[in-house]
Amino acid sequence: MCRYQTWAAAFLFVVGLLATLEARKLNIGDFGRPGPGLFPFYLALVFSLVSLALILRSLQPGASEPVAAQVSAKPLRTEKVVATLLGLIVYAFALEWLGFLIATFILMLFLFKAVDPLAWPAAIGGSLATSLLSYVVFKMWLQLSLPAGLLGL
Amino acid sequence: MDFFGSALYGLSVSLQPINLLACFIGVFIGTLIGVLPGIGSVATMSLLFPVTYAMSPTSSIIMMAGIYYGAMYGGSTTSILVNIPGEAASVVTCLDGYQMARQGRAGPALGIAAFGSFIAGTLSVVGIMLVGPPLARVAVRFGPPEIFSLLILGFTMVTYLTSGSKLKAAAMAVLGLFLGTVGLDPIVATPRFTYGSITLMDGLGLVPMIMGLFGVAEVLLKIEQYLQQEVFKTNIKGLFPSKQDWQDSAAPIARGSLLGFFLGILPGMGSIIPSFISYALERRLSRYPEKFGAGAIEGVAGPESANNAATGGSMIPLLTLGIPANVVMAVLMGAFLIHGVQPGPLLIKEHPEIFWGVVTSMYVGNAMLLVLNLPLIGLWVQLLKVPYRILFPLILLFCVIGVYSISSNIWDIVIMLIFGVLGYLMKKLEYEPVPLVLAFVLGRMAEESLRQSLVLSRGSLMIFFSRPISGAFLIAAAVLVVVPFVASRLKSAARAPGD
Repeated sequence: MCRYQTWAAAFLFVVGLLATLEARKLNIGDFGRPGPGLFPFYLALVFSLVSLALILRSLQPGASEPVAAQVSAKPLRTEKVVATLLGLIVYAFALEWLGFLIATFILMLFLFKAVDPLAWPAAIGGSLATSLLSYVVFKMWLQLSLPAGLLGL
Repeated sequence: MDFFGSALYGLSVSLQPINLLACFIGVFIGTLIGVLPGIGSVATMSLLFPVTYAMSPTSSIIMMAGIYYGAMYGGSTTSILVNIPGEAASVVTCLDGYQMARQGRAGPALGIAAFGSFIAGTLSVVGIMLVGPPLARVAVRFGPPEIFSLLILGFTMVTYLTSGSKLKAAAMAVLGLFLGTVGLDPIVATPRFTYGSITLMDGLGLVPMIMGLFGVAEVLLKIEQYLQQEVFKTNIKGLFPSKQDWQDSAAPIARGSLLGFFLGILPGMGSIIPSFISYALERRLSRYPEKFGAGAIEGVAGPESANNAATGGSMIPLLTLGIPANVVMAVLMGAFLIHGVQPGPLLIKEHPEIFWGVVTSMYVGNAMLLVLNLPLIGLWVQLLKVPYRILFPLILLFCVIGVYSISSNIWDIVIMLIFGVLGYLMKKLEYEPVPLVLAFVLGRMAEESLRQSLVLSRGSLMIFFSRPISGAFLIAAAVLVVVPFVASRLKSAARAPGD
């Protein structure tokens, strides 16, 4: 039996059921006069069935555990993944308030220090260079709309 | 217009200074990201979406296409020199290319990869010119039932060709189709699954999805491991393959080109499978199969030609049917749509400058790559020394900027991060992202053609079977589903008496 696979497939199955219920709220119509709900409803139904098949198959004795989930020689650094994601989420919500330059400087500094830490001078210099250079290239040269924020730039 | 007339017309477009510049930028960036492991052509092309707003549609598509085949070139460089495939399609090149480099023959390996790619790329451009227009003439006559059945065949092939579990791939394809229904309904504009969110009204964006699944997820998977950088030691001298090398490589290049081109046309094929098949074919045909894996130049020449020819072949379904054959083509399709151009059977007629300009620019681009790559290999090698801990924050920053600048909406960043986590988990649990993205892109077309067909037939599903072309597509799809199943049953039945 394959624990991770079963849980993943069970999760997909629940998603499929919820989607089926949600799609039913739309006007499904019939085959002759298909409404906006027809396509998503049948898709969600098929998705639930395929997920159910995945659950059953993961419960079969021969089902193999995915390679990535097996114990590797070195422990995985899941905390680095979480830290990076958190950094990016904070960045997304602070971006418009702080502005591109400040927010990007902080994000870069965080990423340079949080995963495989660079020395402070390198991290600060690198973050400064990256945020200024990307500002010049993307905002001034390519004229993308990036938020000005606190500095008004 | 005849073949030569069209080719000349195309060259008159692609040789305009602005398009030459676009092509150069495309192949240069393509090679660069092909060299750098961890950022692929899909993410880069999505990243450059906003940059193309200011460009003409022709220049934008020329640049985007350049990134794609440029990355194929760059990917082979890292495979040969450091045994790290910069692009998935160059995985096979590691087998013999790296061995050649270890034996001090990095130069000829890089040289034959470049020349082979150039020859294959050139042949595939001629192929597009020959196959594209007749195919478009047939496709013009497709009605909604034919389009729907063709899409079903496409989804089946994508699922069938995936390397892992077919059932998981099918689940991902259906999920992709479902995610494509989020937003306004294409026919009566009823909001679906939007829950009052304005961001979701426009539907989930292709760029945040792709950047999440292919950009962010890749970075997360990499930083989770302890990173070790391999130090490059080989020195490169003499890039030109010897006479003997050419003799050994000529036939593999020719076979790889043909194989890659025709396989590349098939939906879901991409350029990875053709390179593997070419390698297997060359080993089987070789008089010295034992040399494969120990530095056989045929093992570099064949697959490298195949993956480049496949990039050309995969343009055909997009340019003539309006159906992307792989994820890169899906991004390219996005670029077409952003500029208000619908790729498909009418493209040649309505926008001949785009069709012929883009096709011939690939020829020009291939020539540029040959000139660019051979002298710049030293620079690419230097780039490989940039540590990943410096590279990954930059990749993430590019992803964020690319996604945000499309509609200045922070929720697009959040959507990208959600798909990043999803892609990370999918990789761990061995679910393929490719069927999901392709189905997502084609979902709207599938729904429209299905609903139109049903209205035409007043609700009878027989419309898909009674029209000959549509029926043929569905039969082909059914064969693909049934054959492997029957084959595995027969195999186990044959094995049973011996047990």
